[in-house]
Amino acid sequence: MKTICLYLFVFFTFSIFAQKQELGKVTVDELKQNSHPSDPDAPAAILFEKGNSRIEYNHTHGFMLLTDIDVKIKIYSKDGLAFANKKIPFYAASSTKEVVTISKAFTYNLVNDKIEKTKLNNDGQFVDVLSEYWSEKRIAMPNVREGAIVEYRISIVSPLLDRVPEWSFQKNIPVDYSEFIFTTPGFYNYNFLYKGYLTPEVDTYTSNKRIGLVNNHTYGSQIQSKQYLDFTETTKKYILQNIPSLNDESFVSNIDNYRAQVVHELAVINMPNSLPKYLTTTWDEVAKTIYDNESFKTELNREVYFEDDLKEILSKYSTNTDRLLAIFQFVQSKMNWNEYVGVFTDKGVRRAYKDNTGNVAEINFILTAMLRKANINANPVLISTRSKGIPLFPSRKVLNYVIVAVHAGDQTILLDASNKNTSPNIIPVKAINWNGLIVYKNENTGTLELTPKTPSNSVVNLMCALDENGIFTGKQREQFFDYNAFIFKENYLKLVDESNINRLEKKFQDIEITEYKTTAPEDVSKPVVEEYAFIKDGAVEQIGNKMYFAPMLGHGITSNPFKISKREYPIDFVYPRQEKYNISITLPEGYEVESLPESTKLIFEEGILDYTYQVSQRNNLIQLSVSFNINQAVVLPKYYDQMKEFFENVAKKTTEKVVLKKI
Amino acid sequence: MMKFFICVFSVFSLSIHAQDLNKSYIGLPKDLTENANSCFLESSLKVVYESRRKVVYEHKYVVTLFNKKGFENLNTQIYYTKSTKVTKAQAVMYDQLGKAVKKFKKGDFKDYSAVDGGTIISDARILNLDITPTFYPFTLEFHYVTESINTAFMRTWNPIEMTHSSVLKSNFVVEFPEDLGFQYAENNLESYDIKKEISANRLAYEIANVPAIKHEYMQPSYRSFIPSVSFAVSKFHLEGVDGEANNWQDLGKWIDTHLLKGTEELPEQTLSHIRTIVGNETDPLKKAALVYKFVQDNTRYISVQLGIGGWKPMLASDVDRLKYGDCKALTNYTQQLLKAVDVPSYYTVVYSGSQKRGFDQNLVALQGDHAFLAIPHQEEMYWLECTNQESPFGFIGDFTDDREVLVITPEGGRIIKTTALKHADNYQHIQGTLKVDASGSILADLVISSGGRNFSNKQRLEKLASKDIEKHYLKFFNGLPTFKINQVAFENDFEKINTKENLQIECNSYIEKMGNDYILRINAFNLGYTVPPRMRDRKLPFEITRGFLDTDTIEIVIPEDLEFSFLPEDVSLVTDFGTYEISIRQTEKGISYQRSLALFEGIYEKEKYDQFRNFFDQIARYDNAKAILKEK
Repeated sequence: MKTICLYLFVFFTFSIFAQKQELGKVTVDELKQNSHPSDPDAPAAILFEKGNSRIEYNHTHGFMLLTDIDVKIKIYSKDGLAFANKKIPFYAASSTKEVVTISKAFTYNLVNDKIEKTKLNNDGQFVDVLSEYWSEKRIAMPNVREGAIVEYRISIVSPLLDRVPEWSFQKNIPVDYSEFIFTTPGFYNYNFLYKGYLTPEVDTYTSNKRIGLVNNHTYGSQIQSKQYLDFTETTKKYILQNIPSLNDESFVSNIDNYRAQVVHELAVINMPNSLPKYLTTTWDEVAKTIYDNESFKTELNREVYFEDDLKEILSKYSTNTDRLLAIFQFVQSKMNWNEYVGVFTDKGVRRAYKDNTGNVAEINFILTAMLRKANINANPVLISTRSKGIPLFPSRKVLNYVIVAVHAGDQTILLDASNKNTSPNIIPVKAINWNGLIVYKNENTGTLELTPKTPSNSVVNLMCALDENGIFTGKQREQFFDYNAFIFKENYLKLVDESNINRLEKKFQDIEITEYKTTAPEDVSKPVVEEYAFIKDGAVEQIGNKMYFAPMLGHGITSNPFKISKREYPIDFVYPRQEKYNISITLPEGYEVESLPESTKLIFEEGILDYTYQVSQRNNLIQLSVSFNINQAVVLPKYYDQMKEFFENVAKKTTEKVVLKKI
Repeated sequence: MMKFFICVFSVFSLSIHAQDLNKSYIGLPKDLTENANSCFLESSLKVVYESRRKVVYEHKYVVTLFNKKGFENLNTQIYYTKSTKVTKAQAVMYDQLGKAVKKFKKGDFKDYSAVDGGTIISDARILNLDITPTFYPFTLEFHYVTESINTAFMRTWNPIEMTHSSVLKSNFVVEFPEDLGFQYAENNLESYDIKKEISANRLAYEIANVPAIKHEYMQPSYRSFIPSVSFAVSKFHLEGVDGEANNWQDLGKWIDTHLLKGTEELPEQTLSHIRTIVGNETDPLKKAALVYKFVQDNTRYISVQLGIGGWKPMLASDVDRLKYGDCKALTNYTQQLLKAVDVPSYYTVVYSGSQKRGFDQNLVALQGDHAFLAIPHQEEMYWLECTNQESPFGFIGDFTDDREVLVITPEGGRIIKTTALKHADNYQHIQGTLKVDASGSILADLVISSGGRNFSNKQRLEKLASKDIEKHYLKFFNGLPTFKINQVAFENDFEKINTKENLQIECNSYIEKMGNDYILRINAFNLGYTVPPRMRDRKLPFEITRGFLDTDTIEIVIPEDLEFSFLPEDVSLVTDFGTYEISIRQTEKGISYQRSLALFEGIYEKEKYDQFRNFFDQIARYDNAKAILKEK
C-alpha cells in the first residue's frame, strides 16, 4: 500500500513539473520573484535545465548523436547578468564537425506588470574558431535586466557518439530542476557514472524500434526499402531537484569531484552480424581498449631506438637497484616534457626519443620499455590527474596521465621521468590522485593506490643567542625529505639566493639573512638542505624589566589555517608529513626565566594529527623540541570542527611566550 | 637615477645583415649575463610605411635563453586580424655552438583565437610558436612580417623587450614617404649609448650593450624608465577610412566624424522615456546622475570587437534594443541619452588599468584602449565609467584616475588629465569600543567608514554571501585569533562615496595571561601592512601609486577589578612618505586609543628606500605594542 501511495505521489509531482518545465511558459510570478527562496544571496538561478541526448539513424550519415538542452535562467541581481551569456565549445575539425544551433531563445522582462518578450537574433550569436579542432558558439541574450528570465534551446548534432554531454546537475548558482534523458539503441551500450554528494532519481524504460536501411550507392527509384533493422531502444532519465550551489573551499583537491554530475561513456558496440566490441565495462576493459590502441601497445613495445644507450648503462651498473635508478635518471635528464598530458603517444616514442621531448605517455613509455629490456618488472600506470577529477568508475575519459610502477619483491616503486625533480616514489602532486590503473605485460590490470602512506619529513635545527637589546643572532638549517624535498626543488632550488632570502625575510618579517645556502645532493635519498645565518630584531617585547618572546621564533603553525566556521568537503593535505623543530636559545646575561610555556602533547582523533611541544631550561639555555605530524593525507569533513579547534590550540601553543626578568 | 655603463664595443661586433648573424652567446660580457634570463644578441625592427594604406612591420630577433624563466617571458605570439596579415613567420633553434637544430615554417605555428575572458567575439587571432626547449641555454631566431592597412596607430620600438633580459644589439629603422607627416617621440634615451640617423624619409636607431634590468619591489612602471621610441604618421588610414590629424583637435574631429557620427540615433520612445525619468530636474549634474543610473540599471558589458568595431561604437539604437555593449557602445549610448536631456558630455579615450598610463602627448595618433565619458560642469570634469554598473556617479576609480586622456569635444580633441585620488580621499576610519573581559575575551562594537579606493573595494560587501563576508573579515582582522562576528550591517552612500560597516565582534582568547599579567595588544583591528623587503643594492626608484589615510579611534573598557600596570608611549613619525601617530589617554573606564597612518602617493628616489622600509618597520613594532593589566 505504501509503495502505491509513493508511486502516485511521485507521478503526481512529475505531472506538475511536466507542465512547468517547458520553454515559453514564463509567468508574472516568476518575473516578480526578487530573490531565490532557498538561497537569497544567489545572483541568478537555473529554474530548469533539461537535456535530451539520443542516438538516431540518419540515411546520409549513419548513427548520429543528437542533443537538445532547454534552459531557463532567472537573473536576480547585476552579478547574475553574466548568466545571460553562454559559451558552447564544439568539435570542428576539417573532417569531422559538430553543428550547434540555438533556438527558442528569448528574454522575458516585466514591464508595467506586463510580460515583455525579446528574441535573440543572429546579431547576438557568434562563432569563434579556437584552434584547428575546436570552435565555440557564443550567445549574448538581449535586453537582460535584473529580474529577467532568459530561455534558450541548444541543439547539437554530433557524429561523435562518445560526446554525450557530461551532465552537471549542480552549478555555481542554485538549480531548481535538472533533468537529463539519454536514449540509445541496443547496438550502443553506455556506462554511466555519478559524481558528487547528490544522486539523481533514475528511471529506465525500453521500447522496440525499427529502422529502414538504405544502400547509399543506389540512386533513382530503386531504394532498398525492404531491409529493416529491429532493435530495442533504452532510455534513461535522471532527475535531480532543488540543488544548492557549489562553492569552492581551501584544501580541496578539485571541487568538481563534489559536483553532482552524470557522465556517459560508450562501453560496448554490438552491431548485428558482428562480434561485440568492448570498450569500457570494467577497468580491465578500459585498460584493454587503451592497450589495443596503436599509440599505446605498439609504442610501448618498441625498443630498438634506445638499445645503444641502454647497453652503455647496463655495462656500468650490475644490480637491478642501481640499474633502475640509472635508467630512470637517464630518461629523466634526457627527456623534456612538452606539457601535454594523455595516455597515448602523440608523435611516437622514436621521434620523442630523437627530439628529446615528448608528452607524458611518450616519456614514461620510453622509461617502461627501457626498464623492461633491462629485465626489471616495470608497468605503466594510468592516472587521472587532480584537475581531471577522481576516477570512481571504469572510464577511459578520466585517464589522462601515465606513470611507471616497478615491482621488486613485495615493493612497488612509482616513477615519473617527465619531471626533472621527481625521484623513485616521488611523483608530481598533480598525479597523486586516489588510485591508478596498472597495465601488466600480459594485459591484465590492477589498481594501485597513489596516496603516499609514509610521511615526508622536514627538520629545522636552529641555534641562536638573545642579547639584552632583544636581538637574536643565530643559524638555522632546515632539511627537506621526500615530497618536501620535491616541492622545495620545484619552487625554490633554481631561484637565485636573493629571491630565496626575500621569501624568507618576508615570511619571518623582522629578520635579516646572511650566508644563505642550499644543497641538493645527487643522491635523492638524502635531504635537500637550506641553511643561513640570521639576525632577528623585533621578536621580543621589552616591557619594563621583562622580555617576552615566542621561542618558536615564527616557525610552525603560528595562525590557524582553518578559520571558516563550516566545512563541507574533505580536507586534503596531499601527503602525510612530519615537521620537527629543534631550537636552542642562549639567554642574555643578567636575565632569568620568569616563566616558560608548559610542555604539552596534543593528539587528534584516531591519531590523524599529533603535536608535541617540549621545552626545558638549563642555566642560560632554553631548549625546545617540537613536532607536528599529519599522519593521514585526507581528513573527512565530519572532523572539521574538532580539527579547527586542534589547529587553534597548536597555533596558540606555537606562539606562547617565554617571560624573562632582569635580575 | 638610471645609469648604464657605456661598454666598450664587444669583440663580437655583429653585423646587422641577416646572413652574418652569430648565433652563439659564448663570450658575452659579464654585465650582459648578470641578472639576465636571456640576452637579445641581435634584434631588428623594420617598419615601412609604403603608403598611407599600407605599413609593413618586420621584426627579427636572435635571443639566447639562459633558463626556463627567460623562455617563459619570451613572446612568440604574432597577432593578426583581417586587416593585419602575417606574410612571414619562421624560427630557428640553435644549440650552444650556434648550430641550427630545428627550423620552423609558418605552417608549424599554431593558430588561436585571441579572444580573452571579457570579450564575446573578436576577429583578432594569434599565431604562436609552440616549442619545448630541450636544453638551456639555447638560441632562438624569430622572424616575422605583418602587413596592415591600418596606419592610424601609434607604434613603439622597445629595445628592451622583456624584464631580466639584456641586449647586445638592437636596431630600429622606419621608412616613410615624405608627405605622410611622420612623427616620432623619444622616451628615456638619455642614459643610453644610442646611435641615431634621421633623414626626410628614414629614421634609424641602434643601441648596444644594455644590461638586464632586475625587477624591484615597488618599482615605477617600466614605461617610465625604459628606453623607447614611439612613432606614427599624420596622414593615416583605419579600416577603410582615411584620416589626417596634425594636432589633437584634428584627431578628435576625425574620431567624431568617422567613428562616432552615424551611431548616435535613438528611437523616439527611448528619448521620451529618459525625458520622463529626468522629469522637472534642471540641475545638469542631477540630470546626468539619473541618466547614468538608468544606463547602469539597464545594460551590461559585453565586448564585441569586429573590424572597425575595435574603434567604432556599435549603434546606440542597438545598445538600446540589446541592452548590452562594450565600453565604446555604452559610452556612446550614455552620451546620446544625456544629449536628449540637454546635458553635454564628451566621449573620451584612455589607457585603462590600475597602472597609470597617460597619452603620449608628443604624438598625435590613435592611442588608448578604453572609452568612457566626461561631463563638463563649471570648469570641472565629471568622469563616468559606463561599463561599471555599480560605480557611483562621478566617482573615478583606479581604472582611469590621474592620467592624460583624449576628450572629444565638439570643437575637436583635447588632452586632459583625469582626477587623481589623493591619499586623504582613500580614507578608512575605524571607530568603536573594545570591552575586555577578565576571562581574556573581548567584545568590540565598530563602525568602519571608508571612501575613495576603499569605497570601491568595500562597496560590494553588502552583496556577498555570508560565507564570503566571513572570509573578508578573517582576512581584514588578521591580527585576531579565531573570532565570531555577532552582527554585521552595511550602508553605502553613493553620493558621499562612503561605505559604513557596522560590526560586533567577539574574540575569546585575545588577551594572554602570563603569571599575574594580562597582556593586551592595543591595536586589535588594523594590522598587516607588510614591511617592505630588505634590498641590498637597489637600482630603481620606488613608487607609491596611490596613498591612503587610516585613522582609528577605539575606546578600550577594562573590568573594574583590573588596572593598567604598563602602557606604551605615544608615537609620532613624520617622513617624506607618510605620517604615523599613536596616542593613548587614560579614561574613567580604561583608555582611549588613537592611531593614524597616512601614506603619500609619489615616486621616491632609490636612496630613500631604506628610510621607507624603516618607517614600516617601526610601524609594525608600534602596531604590536602591548599594554599590561593586573588585578587591583
